[in-house]
Amino acid sequence: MDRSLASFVVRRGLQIPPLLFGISVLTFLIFYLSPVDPVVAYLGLTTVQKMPPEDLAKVEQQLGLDQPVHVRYLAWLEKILQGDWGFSYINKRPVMNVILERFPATLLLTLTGYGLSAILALLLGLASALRAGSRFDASLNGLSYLLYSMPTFLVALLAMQVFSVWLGCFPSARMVSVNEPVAFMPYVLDRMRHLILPACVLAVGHMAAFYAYFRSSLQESMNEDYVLTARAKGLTERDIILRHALRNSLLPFITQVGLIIPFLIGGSVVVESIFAWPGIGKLAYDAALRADYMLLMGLTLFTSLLVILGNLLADVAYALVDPRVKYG
Amino acid sequence: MNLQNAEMKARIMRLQHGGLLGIKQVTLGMICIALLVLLALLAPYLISYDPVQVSLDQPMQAPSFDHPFGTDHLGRDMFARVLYGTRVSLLVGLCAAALAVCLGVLIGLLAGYFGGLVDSILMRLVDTIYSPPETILLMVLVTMFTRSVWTIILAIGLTHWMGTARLVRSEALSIRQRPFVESATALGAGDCYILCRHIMPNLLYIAIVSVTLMTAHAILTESFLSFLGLGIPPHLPSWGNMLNEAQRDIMLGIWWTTLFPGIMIIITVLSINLLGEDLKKKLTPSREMKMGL
Repeated sequence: MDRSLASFVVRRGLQIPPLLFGISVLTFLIFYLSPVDPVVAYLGLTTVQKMPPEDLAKVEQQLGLDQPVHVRYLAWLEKILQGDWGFSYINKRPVMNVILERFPATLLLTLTGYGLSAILALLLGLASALRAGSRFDASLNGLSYLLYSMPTFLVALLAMQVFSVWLGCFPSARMVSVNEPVAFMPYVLDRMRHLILPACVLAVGHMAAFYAYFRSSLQESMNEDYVLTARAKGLTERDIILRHALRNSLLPFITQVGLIIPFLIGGSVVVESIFAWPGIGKLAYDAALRADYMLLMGLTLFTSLLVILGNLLADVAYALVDPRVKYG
Repeated sequence: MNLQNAEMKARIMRLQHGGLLGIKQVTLGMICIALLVLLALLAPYLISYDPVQVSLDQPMQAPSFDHPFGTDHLGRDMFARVLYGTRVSLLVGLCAAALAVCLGVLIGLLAGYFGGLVDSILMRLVDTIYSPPETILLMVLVTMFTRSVWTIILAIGLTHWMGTARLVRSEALSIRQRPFVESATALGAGDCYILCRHIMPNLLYIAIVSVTLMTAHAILTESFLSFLGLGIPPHLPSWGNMLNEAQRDIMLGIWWTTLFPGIMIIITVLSINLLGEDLKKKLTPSREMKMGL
């Protein structure tokens, strides 16, 4: 790693601690300012209703609710830093354990969805660029607008209706079959069968955005001087696109990796809730429906961390690919 | 440049600016939006059915002359519900977008114009609120507060202003250094005057394009929250709520409770997006801004 890149990474990394501090304050303030009773947040409504008043007073004192805001914030922060993210009462387990246990499922789903959408957008973008201005190009543009304007849940319902109900080729829920196969190959195949439908649904929405982005970026490269040079050399349109314009139009895919993480998580909430996929999106949905405040708080922190990490990685990757960035 | 290439360029130009597809898309989008607004305003005069009137004696009726869109499981007229849903969606979309863009423009202007400490503080605030995924933040907000149309609008508005703020800031930064601002300062103009008379007008296109695209996004967000049962209170006819209730119908082969609200969402969002894209093409001066918006 050369020095300029190292200094870029360090400079970029230094932006993170203040951001983490900001997020912790934001999360704390949302919950502090909300009309929710903290005792209910810690123990759940049903437990609190059954509690005698003197116990309630004791809990309030234990939670430090009689302390001023900054003392409560620091006490809360200390616990968070120690890895004590509170107790999820709908799961009856510590928040941290629940989130970490559910996270791999979301990672699998979102990475597959992301990969699918990127590959499809790339292929379709290239195909339409090679036939720029044709009816094919125009109809792909129209289709991408249409898909972009469709809510993910509608796509999910449609896909479920067609592929699970009418055709019956993919299961409509869960990550594995109820009678899970034991042997290795059938097990992997079973997993894949469950993965395909949700991953495709997740991919559809992003594909439209990716496609539009890639297509306009390719269009822009085509107006650059080096394309003019290539054309003057007598290269065919096909060679110009594949050899010269394409490489420079791939940059958005890298910057988009960072930007798209929040949307992937957002999309996974919808897709996981509909397909009963046991990831953190479904977890967030359950937490919101049943008002599990500690879990929501933990999820806010956890997903923020993911986004920050994703942005960092995207910036570093960008600097690696495009040398102009690290001197900027 | 060879002839084939010039011809291709002309074709692309035709596609982009007016011409065959361009004009059609725009007018179609605009006509749809005008129609939707009319439907929303005139809903009570167009139909005799009450959208929340339950008639248990005629549940799940297929579309017929009496009920053009059929009835749902409680015998409520789907046509009336879908029409009144237009009101809810447009109200939520427009109000949330207006709130988000106003907030974004205000904060972006202050940060970009004053710079220095104000800029650092405001932009760190933007970075911070940008970090949690908007869906998670929205779910936290709607869980915390009592649900009503206005809290949904507030929640969507408060979680969507950051992008606009960043764009406005960067544009305000560059406008501030132009000669006309300098000459205004030399003539003794105050900050407020310069902001309102010299900087704001040059930024207005960001606000206009953002409001349009944000309205479409807010309508999608509302429908998805309502679909999950976390949005508009269930007794109000919103398209998301209808789809939420229609989930079990579709397995029974009852398609009309899903189809009509679903199509309405797509038509509305699509036509607003098309209008927004067109405004973007016409109003945005630089290509960097086009990518950003």
